[in-house]
Amino acid sequence: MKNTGNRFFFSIFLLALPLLILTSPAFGQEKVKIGVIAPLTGAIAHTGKDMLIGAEVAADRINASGGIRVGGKKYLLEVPALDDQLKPDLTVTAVRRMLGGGVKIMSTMSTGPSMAALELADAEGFLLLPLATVPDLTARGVKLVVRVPGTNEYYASSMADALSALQPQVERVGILWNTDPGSKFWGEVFAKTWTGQGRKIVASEGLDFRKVTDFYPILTRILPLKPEALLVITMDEPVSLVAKQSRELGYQGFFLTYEGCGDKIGELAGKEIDGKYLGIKSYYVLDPKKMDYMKEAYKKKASGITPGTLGANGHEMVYLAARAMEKAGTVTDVMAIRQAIPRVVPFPESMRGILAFDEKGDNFSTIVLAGFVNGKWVYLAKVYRKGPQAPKAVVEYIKQ
Amino acid sequence: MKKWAIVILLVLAIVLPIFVQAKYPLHLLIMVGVWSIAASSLNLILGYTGQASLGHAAFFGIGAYSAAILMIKMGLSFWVALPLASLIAAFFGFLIGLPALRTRGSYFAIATLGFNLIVTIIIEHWDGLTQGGAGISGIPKPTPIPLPFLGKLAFTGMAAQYYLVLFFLILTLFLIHRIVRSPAGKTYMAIRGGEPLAESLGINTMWNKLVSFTTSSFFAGLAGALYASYHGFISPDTSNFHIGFDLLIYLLVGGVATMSGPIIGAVIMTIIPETLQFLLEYRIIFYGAFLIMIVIFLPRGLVGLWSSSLWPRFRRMVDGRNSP
Repeated sequence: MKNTGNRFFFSIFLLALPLLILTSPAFGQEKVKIGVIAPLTGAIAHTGKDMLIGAEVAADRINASGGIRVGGKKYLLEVPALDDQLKPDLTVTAVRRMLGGGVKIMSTMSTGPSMAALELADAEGFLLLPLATVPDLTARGVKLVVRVPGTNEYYASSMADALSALQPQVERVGILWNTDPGSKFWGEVFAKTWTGQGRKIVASEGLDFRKVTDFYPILTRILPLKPEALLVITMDEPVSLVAKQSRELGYQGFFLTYEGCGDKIGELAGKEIDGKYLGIKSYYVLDPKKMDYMKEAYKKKASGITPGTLGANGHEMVYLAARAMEKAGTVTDVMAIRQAIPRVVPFPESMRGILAFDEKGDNFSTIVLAGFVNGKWVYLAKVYRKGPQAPKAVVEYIKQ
Repeated sequence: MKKWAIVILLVLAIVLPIFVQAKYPLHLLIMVGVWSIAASSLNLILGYTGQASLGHAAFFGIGAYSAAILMIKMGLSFWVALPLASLIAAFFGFLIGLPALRTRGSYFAIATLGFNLIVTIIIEHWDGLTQGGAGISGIPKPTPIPLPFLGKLAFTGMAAQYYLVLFFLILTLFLIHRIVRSPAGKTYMAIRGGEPLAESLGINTMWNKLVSFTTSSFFAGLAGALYASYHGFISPDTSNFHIGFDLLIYLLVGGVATMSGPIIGAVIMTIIPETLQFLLEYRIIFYGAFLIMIVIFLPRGLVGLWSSSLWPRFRRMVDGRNSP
């Protein structure tokens, strides 16, 4: 930039940018807003977009039928979204921005961002509906929080119960968990439930699946211990690499995944997992109408994203908030809305099959155990618990 | 002339919360303050001493976790935990500096980056101390300060927290300015200019680099402790090396080896991503292009641009004289 005049104006422009934020409101205030804060850019943007699109699909559906009716008045729903790149400090910035724009109900994704947002929920008076499974979210006594997915305790123990029912010949399981607190705890709960049934965990190793792509070293340590199933607690792409590399090393057993692993594993490692896979899917997969509705709605968004568990949770989140606002008779009293949420389940549009909530804000839902056979997803069983104190999950086989 | 500009900026910073009361802009200003302190700390070792540390996020994280652990597990008040946390970060800076500063250039950069990665891994896995990946939540705000005849000065509101960060930012800048202007500071700049030449003049380069690095770590730890108390929650992400790279970008954008560069860089690079949120993934393209333009066309950062093009114009306007 040889022209000093241009450089001068360029520098003034840059220094004036802060005024855009400091002086202008972040959002208009026309409709009832339910905010989504998720990673919309970066390596896992597809997960954040899945969540956002699920929420938008739900909002569109509700708006298409006239919106929600609260206190004799009709409101349309709007889903403003902000990108936090899964970084807790950016989540807090996004929460503040949403609050500045009049958003009083928000959803975040994953442990770190959700815990960061949780610090502000009661103090700033907004209802947090996090899509995260770590128990701390509802264990800290924060009033304005209702978890949308199940806890990892619920998923992990249900998976262990279901595995012993569906594949009774499997005794020895090896666990690979991602080094985030949710995944680690998932592995611990699975191990506790599994060994409680008198079966064995032959190995349990943590690694950062975001950074590691060569799993040969860890697999060469675990496979000689002869696991009959490998539980890999991370997302589709690294699970597919583990599947491929372990098959190369001669592993013949099963692969188990957690609720965050979606359908993409079938595209990435279909041959390796065919006939030897057990994963967790959302309840709506059992209803062809709901499946078609989600697929069509996602296609209309032209996003290139297929609906997954996060999309189902995003959809559920909006419906919970909408139905709770109607039940509570208010769109502004977040405590009343929070207290109304347990009274709106179960509801017919549910994608997650939530059956009930406890007083802390955790829910009990029906999950589906799926296999991958001959290149297709096959739904093997419905799994649910009858209540918070139920010792074991109920496993209902699905007729094929 | 320069002194009254500083006074004006100081007065503006002090009265700002009177005009900006919305929490979102105040939050951004608080984060700009925290990142300015952290970037200034890096400026001391990188800008003034010429040692490219890529691991400063480690000291930021150590400061944050030390403050959190001291307040929550040992029950110390913020006012005791803050200086202690900064000293703990400085201690680690001293320990790491001893072997790392024996290397130079890119070797030193990689050594500090390696240290950063080790710190993050320890934080992630030492569940008993740091609560691992779950992070530490419920970190308290500063306890109120009793004021004679005036009651108590509380730090629960956003404006109070803004003033707290502003206070420590001014203190940091003052101390770093004093260091840079002192004989020690001139020694650092001599080392930056040419380490073998500095050695030939009898300067103990190892000792001086170590002191600079330790001091720099102190201020990075201070920024981390302020961050922890403000947010109330920290996780292993708080020491992630990307924070160190962010601080480097703030210096490049604002101006390395200048007092105002870290602040200008922190302002621009905190606010631009927020302004461009609506572009979603395309903002990354804009962000990248912006950084490339800065590096190519403004190698001295915005402060360099300001001093080379704006100041002579302003002086001509005021004095009516031809300035170089």
